[in-house]
Amino acid sequence: MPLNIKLENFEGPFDLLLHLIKKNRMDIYDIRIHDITTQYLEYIKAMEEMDLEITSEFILIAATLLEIKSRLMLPKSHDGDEDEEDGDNTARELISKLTEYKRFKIAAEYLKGRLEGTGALYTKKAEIIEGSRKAPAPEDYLSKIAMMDLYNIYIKVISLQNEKFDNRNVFKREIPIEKFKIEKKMEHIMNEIRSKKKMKFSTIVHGCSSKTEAIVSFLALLELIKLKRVKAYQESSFTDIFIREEELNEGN
Amino acid sequence: MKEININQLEFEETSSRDKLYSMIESLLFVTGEPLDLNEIARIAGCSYEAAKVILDEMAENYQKPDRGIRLITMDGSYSLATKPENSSFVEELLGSSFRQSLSQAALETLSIIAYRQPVTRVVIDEIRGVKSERAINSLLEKKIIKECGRLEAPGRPILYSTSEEFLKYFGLGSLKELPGIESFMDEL
Repeated sequence: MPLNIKLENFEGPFDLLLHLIKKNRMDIYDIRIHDITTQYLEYIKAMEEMDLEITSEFILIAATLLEIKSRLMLPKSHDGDEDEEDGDNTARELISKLTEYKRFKIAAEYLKGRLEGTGALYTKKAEIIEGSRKAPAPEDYLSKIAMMDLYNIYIKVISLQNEKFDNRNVFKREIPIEKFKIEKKMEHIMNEIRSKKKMKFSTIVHGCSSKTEAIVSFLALLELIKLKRVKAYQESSFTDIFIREEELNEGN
Repeated sequence: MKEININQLEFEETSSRDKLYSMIESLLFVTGEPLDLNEIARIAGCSYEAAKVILDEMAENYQKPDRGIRLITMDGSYSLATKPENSSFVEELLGSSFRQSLSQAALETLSIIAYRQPVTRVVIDEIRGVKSERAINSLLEKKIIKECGRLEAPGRPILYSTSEEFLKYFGLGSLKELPGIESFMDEL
């Protein structure tokens, strides 16, 4: 017998079920489960034969329908069987899901109708207002600056630039063997502090012969702070760091 | 800052109300983008309530048949838009329409978001009985929906809501213009 099921494009199992209910002129709250299940399964079979992908959602609903159907075939007991209640719940749940889906399907129809029957609203692009806040004039922002200030700033910038080209800071082509060790530097710093009680970190840095040595010195300082062997103070960023020996706890 | 009491609005010289009305209209005209009610009240130097009264009145005035502009509102923000009835003329001037048709899956997904917002993808999947990820992505791409935070639940899933673009797309002045979801029950 040839299958004469016209395969329509359904959005999902609920869509298919609603179609079958409508086709059979049934009420959504009063589904003839036997007919619907048979037709639903026929549809899935047709999908299979046409090599359409049958997603798990379709299978899930098929299983749900079969469950409801098989429960209906069982004789009813009067003393409210638990299983029976479960079965009722499955059916009720399916119906409530179907009605909910149907409601949104109608809402979607409404939106579609609006799209076709009503025009769109157009808004303007946001205004770009130029020159609303004027850039300050040179005489405003230069009013408090004397020629000498500019000269000083210039000298500072240039000297910073020159420092960058300081020979000490240039990487050598050869990578020297690690000359400086944090442990050694820590010892060195501790010795210096013991003799002077208090010292500036910049004096240590100035005594360094290379950038690497300065970095190792700094790491040594951090390590000493962590070990609580020295205390370091700095008033604000980029100012000198003062170091002094940590006073040992009296108990120690 | 001058506070304008709504109750006094009627008693004060009408010129002050007119001034406020025109001030707010100018602000809306120039921004183009949705303007927050608080921001409007702040700039106009009036109370939130007074600005709201004026805006409600303005929305009503724009309903007159000889007006080509409508006031649209979403999440307490207002903007001016052209009348949907005139869209074909506007489109001829602009040479294009920004609207494209939407697939059935996209329409179903959108209707769930419109009526249930803010809503997670899982809820949409459950109602439709199928996965809706692709429909959500295409709606996001068209900017008809937007992500609006996350649900404080395991996995912190993304919440979706409709955007201002949604109103423009469907010629709605505000979400209130959508018929209630219950009205669709009668057809069941």
